[in-house]
Amino acid sequence: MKFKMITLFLLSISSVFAASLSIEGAYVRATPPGVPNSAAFMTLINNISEDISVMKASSSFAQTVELHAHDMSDGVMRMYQIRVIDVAANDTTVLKPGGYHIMFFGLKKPLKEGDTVDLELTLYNGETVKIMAPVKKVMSGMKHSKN
Amino acid sequence: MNSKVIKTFIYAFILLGVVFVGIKVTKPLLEKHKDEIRYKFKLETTKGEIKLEDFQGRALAIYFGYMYCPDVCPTSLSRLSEAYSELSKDEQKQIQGLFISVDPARDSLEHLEGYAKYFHESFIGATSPDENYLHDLTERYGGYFRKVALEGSKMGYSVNHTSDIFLLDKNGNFKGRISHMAKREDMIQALREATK
Repeated sequence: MKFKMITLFLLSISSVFAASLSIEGAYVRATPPGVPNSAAFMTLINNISEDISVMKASSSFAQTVELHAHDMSDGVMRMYQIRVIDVAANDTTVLKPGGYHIMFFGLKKPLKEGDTVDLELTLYNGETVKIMAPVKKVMSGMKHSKN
Repeated sequence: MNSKVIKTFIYAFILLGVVFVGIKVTKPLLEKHKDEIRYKFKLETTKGEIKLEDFQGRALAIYFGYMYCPDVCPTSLSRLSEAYSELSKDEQKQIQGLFISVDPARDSLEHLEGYAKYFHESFIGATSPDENYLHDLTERYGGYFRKVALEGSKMGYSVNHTSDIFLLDKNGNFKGRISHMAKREDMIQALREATK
């Protein structure tokens, strides 16, 4: 019991002193055969009272990682690279299918469900946030994002 | 007014009538013919050429996209596969899923086959080496695609494209299109309707 309380206390402290940006529900798409690219989706949570911009992303699994966005009009989907992904003060930005995503190019190996991929985000102030994201198939990933 | 003028009027009137009836009769036939050829296609797969006529007696669910597409195409094909899997075995036999790549420069036939099968083992992946043909084909279906250079991006270019699924009935007639984000039940219903 005592141990549990100490653990809880330590956890609460660690969340207080956590990075300005935390990440939830991150996952990377499993790759169909012959596709050397993938995309990562997640929720970015800004824990501080000033705006945060994600400037860069990298992973040991891919040659290049870029920030991308989508928009849809008249049934036509457009995808393009963006310079930053902003997260407003004390707010969240959701990276989800059909919207923002982090794109992986030149994967060093195909990504299978059950794999874990490292991802590092660099913020406007030079701070970095490192996470390990599970690889999921398209539909299980989408179900997750709905929850 | 003399009788000659009246006669001329009558002849002209009859002639107009004949032309009018002629148009009335032939127009629907012409329209039908136009419709029949409008959705025709001739594409390549690892197993050789496929044509619309090859699917006579089976409905088609067609999606135009490209393999580098990081998000929308996999989502669309997964959702199509999910809806298709809800159909009975008998219904599945009556409708074919077809992925047509509009990026033949990057998508090889071998890769396309594996890609389509990844979403459902029965799906076919096809394309044409002629990009102009693919433009003509998507436009005939009421779709669209355009290569867009992504400057500074490793991707080189992305392809903006229609993300609806196009449905043809068993006779190769256009049955409708459904958004890739349509509700699951609506997609299942649309596939069923196409087989009728």
